[in-house]
Amino acid sequence: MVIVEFLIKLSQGFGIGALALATGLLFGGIARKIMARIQRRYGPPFTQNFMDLFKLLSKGSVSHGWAFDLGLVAGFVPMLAALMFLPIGPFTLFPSDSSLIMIVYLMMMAYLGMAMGVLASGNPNSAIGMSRALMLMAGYEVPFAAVIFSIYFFSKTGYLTQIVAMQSGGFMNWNIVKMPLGFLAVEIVLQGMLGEKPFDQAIAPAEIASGPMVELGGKYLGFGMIQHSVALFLETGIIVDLFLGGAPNFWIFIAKQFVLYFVVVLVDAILPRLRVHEATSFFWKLPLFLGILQAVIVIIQGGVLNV
Amino acid sequence: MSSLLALLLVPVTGSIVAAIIQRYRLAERLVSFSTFVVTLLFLIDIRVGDAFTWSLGFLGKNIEMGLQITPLSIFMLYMTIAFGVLLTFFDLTERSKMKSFLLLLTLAASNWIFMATDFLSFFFAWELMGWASILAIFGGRRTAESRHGALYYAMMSIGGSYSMLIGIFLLSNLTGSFSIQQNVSYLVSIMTVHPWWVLGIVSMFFVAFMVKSGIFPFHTWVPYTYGESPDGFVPYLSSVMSKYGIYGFLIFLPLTLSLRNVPGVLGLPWPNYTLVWFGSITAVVGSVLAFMQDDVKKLFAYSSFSNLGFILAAIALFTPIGLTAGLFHAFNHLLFNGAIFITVVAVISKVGITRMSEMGGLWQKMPLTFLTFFVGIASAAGIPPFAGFGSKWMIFQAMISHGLIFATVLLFFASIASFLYLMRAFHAIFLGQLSHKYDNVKEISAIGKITEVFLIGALIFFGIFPGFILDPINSIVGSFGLKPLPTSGYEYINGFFSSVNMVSIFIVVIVAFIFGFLLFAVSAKHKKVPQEDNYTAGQIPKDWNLTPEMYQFSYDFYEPMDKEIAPFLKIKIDGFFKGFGDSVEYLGSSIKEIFTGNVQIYTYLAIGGLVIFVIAGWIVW
Repeated sequence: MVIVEFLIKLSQGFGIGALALATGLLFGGIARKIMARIQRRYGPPFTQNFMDLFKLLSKGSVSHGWAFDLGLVAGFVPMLAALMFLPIGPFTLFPSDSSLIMIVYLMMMAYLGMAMGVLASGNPNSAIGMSRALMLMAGYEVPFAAVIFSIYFFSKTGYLTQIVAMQSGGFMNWNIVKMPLGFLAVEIVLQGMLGEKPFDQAIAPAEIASGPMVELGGKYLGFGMIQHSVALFLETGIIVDLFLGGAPNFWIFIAKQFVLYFVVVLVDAILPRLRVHEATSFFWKLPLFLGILQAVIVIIQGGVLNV
Repeated sequence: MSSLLALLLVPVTGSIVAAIIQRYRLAERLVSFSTFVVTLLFLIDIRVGDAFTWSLGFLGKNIEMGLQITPLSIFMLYMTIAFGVLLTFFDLTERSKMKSFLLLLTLAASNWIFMATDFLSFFFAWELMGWASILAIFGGRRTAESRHGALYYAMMSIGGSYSMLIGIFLLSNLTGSFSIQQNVSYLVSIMTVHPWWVLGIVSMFFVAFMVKSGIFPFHTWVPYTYGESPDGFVPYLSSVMSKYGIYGFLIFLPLTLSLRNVPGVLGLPWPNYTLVWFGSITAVVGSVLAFMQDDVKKLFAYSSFSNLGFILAAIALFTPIGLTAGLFHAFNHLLFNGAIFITVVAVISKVGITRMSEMGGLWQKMPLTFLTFFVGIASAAGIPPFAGFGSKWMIFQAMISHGLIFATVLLFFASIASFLYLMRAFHAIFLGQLSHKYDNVKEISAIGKITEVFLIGALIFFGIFPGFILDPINSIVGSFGLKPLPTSGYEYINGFFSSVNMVSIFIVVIVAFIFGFLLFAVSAKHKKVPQEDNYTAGQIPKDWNLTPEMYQFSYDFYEPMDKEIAPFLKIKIDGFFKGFGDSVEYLGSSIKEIFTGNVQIYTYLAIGGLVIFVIAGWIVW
């Protein structure tokens, strides 16, 4: 009986992973197309990312040792694991474990693994890129913390499933209406999380030769691509659950995610790259101010919880 | 004979033996290890409620002294002694100039601290612990610097001890007793009448505890002392000794329960609120200073007191979840800090330096140490399913439930900053390019390997089954008169806002990893290349005389960040202490000016003194 249950969960988990990966890759392809049209090019077909991934996984490559291999596998695996706890539309694989902070920290493990892999390659460009990525993270995680605080305090629960359930019953119940400042902060944070311009210091193709990805080729680059696609799905998915009231089915969920990502892509298309320390301190100014203001409003409205 | 006494006498005996045979390093280390083991064996049949009392004639009074076991003290005893067993086992092959008898003396003192029922023996044990550890710090790698570190530590702890001594005598003057329990209940009874009195006396004690735990603004000694103390002693210093302060705080924190109905900030009494801020600031200061360090021992010294800041912030709330989270983090900190420091010591013993920017690429040479360090930093960063996640997660929930927005954001920032410095150390020591001067470095001895495997196991086990630690913590929470958090099995952590099942997280991660490795196996083949074979944008390393050292980017790893935090670094706390020291010196030398050696001046002084004495006597009577 337990085994059957396990197999059901396993196949469902596999399905979620495939869905997230496909959605992430599709979003990436569409983003490339949008970007091309803004720049008055024709652009690659929107299925290009699928072809790229397939090509990368089937192409020979060089490895820098077992820490490199382990690190890159550990770079995308925890992302997939974190995905299993995310309520996607009506469906959650583990409804009793969808703790928000837990998901955020599980995603952190993916960054740790990725960092281990690319740093083990011994290329100074990847070290510079990683240092930049971490500094950027020190920037955007702080306003994100303020938003998590507001959500927890407002909803009085830490389960994503319950946060979604509280927003059911129409647009006016969504947290975007109740906590607009927090949403604004988190949308800016999303730009940084996804590493899109003006926060693409870590990748910076023309400056530090793609930073962390400089030594990646073949399947390793493919793993990096999987990580980015799943992270895209996961991060937009968390925001949909937190602010946009989840969704009654997969299609609406993905549509809401795409709206969030579309804004990110448009901003990416028009802004130049900031300097590293400017980006970090930017997050400590406007988004943090918005986040804290939102938290203060929530505290004044909600009063003290009974402890 | 009561086995409580054995907890004091066994380490003292061991210490004497170790002192006699200290010339023979291996024998000395063996004595130290076996003493810890024997102490642990004695601890096993000690139960909560065991007590032992004796009385002491002092100044014509009969002073009751005693030892007693409370849920908190047995928790602390197990933590200290079990960690000590592990550490002394590791130290068997360690080659620094650590004196084992001092470590054993510290053990005796710490056992006494945790069991003492009266302030007199508490103070005596506190001082014994302080002095033994100060002496243990002499004999670091660099003689002059380690002396400086020890003296800095000595000055700070003497300051703390004086403060505590004044507090003890003030209290015993008021109550006529040295018993901790009586004095605390007396403070509770006068709490509403003379709140400022209570605050004054308690802060006298808190200064000593803050010094010992390295809480802001008394954190300045920590990096100097940890950075310079003998390699074999640092893990004990940072994992175990910093917790004594936490034990001290918990003696007095129950006082604040009687303030629960007095208006404070966000439902918290003022003293708790202030302590939460001290904790949060410590966490941030430690983390930010840590990621600018290049000395690996100093980096983790900062990290160590930063984590103490987390613990203090949580226990200062003194709510069930806050207290649980704080004690849980104390345990996890013991484990992951032990793992980190033991691997760091292992690396230092192999490469012979502590500057991280000169290391690099050591994962190729010391794979097990590298993995232990990886698990250690993953736990320290609070990544599930390792130990360290649960406690950080609970600390955040405890803080959020009180609506402490600014302190929570500060703690979150400290947590992210900890990720930064951990990654920096990870990269600078183990990743990147391996310099040719380390071609002959080998993995540590079998004893070290066993310790490391054990630590990895413990970090994973207590990550998946936090209930084994949460159960004793719940009984501690209950013993303070708070309602313990609900328990539902060894694999669950129940927070305020949500609960998580660590086993299911673990299984999901494992299954995902299996999938990941399958994908790795079925996708196209790779070939392994040497570390010189790198993308170099057209440069050929040989033509440009590029060496691995030049390819290692780890010095000033977060340089762009300096610009942002530079204004905060201008605030120098140790500058304040230095200024204080200078003015004391100035005062001393001006007093010394009086003693010129001229008999006439002495006569005037004597006459003046007599006059003042007479007038003062007149006024008093």
